[in-house]
Amino acid sequence: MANAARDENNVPTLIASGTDGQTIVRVKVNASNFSLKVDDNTTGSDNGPTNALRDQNSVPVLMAVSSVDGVTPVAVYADSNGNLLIDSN
Amino acid sequence: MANAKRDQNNVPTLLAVSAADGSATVPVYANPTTHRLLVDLGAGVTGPGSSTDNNIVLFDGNTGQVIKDSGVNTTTILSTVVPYTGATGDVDLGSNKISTDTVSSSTAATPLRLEGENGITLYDKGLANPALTVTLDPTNVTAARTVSFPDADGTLALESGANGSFTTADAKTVTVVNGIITSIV
Repeated sequence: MANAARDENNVPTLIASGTDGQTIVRVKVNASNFSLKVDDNTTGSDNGPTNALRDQNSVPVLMAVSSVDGVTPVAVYADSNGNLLIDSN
Repeated sequence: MANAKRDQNNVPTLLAVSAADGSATVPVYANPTTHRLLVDLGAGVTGPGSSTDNNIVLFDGNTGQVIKDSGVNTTTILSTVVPYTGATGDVDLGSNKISTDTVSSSTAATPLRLEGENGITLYDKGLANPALTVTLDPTNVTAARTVSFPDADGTLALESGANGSFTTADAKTVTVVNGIITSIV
C-alpha cells in the first residue's frame, strides 16, 4: 500500500483508492505540463469502505460527494498507473 | 454556497469554487457506483455512450465537438466503398468499369493477366479515331514480340470485310481481302 509523498513542508500529495476500493494509489501528474493524469474509461469496483481509506501516515484518500444523492461522501478511485478515474459523459 | 461533506472520521469531500463566479464553494461529485469523478471537458469532443470496436468516427453536425459512429468498420470499409468479395480478396466492380490510363502488374517478374469468363475484347471507344490499334510497345519489347495462341487450333479471326496486308516474322506478306486471307507470299 502506497503512502502519500510529501513536499519539504510536509504537505502530502494526492492519493486515491485503487479500483478495488481497498488499496491506496498515488495520483500522478504530467510533470511537463502539470496536468492531472486521468482515466475516462475504467470503472471501479464499489466494494470499498464507506469512510476514506488512509495511508500509513493517516493521510486520507480523495473524497467527493455522491452524484446520486448529493450528500453521501464517495471515495474517488485511481487506476494502478495513478490515473484518476473520471466520467466525462 | 455549499459546505464539504464529511465521512464518519471527519474527512472532508472535495470542494471547489464555482466556474460562474469564481468564489462560491461547490462540492465535486463522483459516481457512487463506479467511483469516477464527474468532470466537464468544456470544449472537448463528446461522443455516443457506446461504440463498435474499430468503427470509423464521423463528426455529427458542424460544431466540431460532437462525433458519432459511422457504422463503417475498418475491416469492411472496402466493401462499403466498392463491391468487394471479402471471401476471396477480389474487388468485384460488377458491370462498372475501371477508368485509368495504365493497368500494370504488381511485380516485374509477373506478367499482367486478363481473365474473361467469355473471352476478352479490346475496344477502342475513341470517336475521332475509331480504328482499334493494339501495339506491342517497341520501347520495352525488343527481341521477342510474340502473340501466342494456345495451341495449333488457335484462330486469328479478322473482322468481316477487313482488307489489308501484314508481314509475318519470317518476312511473308499476308494479304487479306474482305476478311479472307487471299495470299501468303
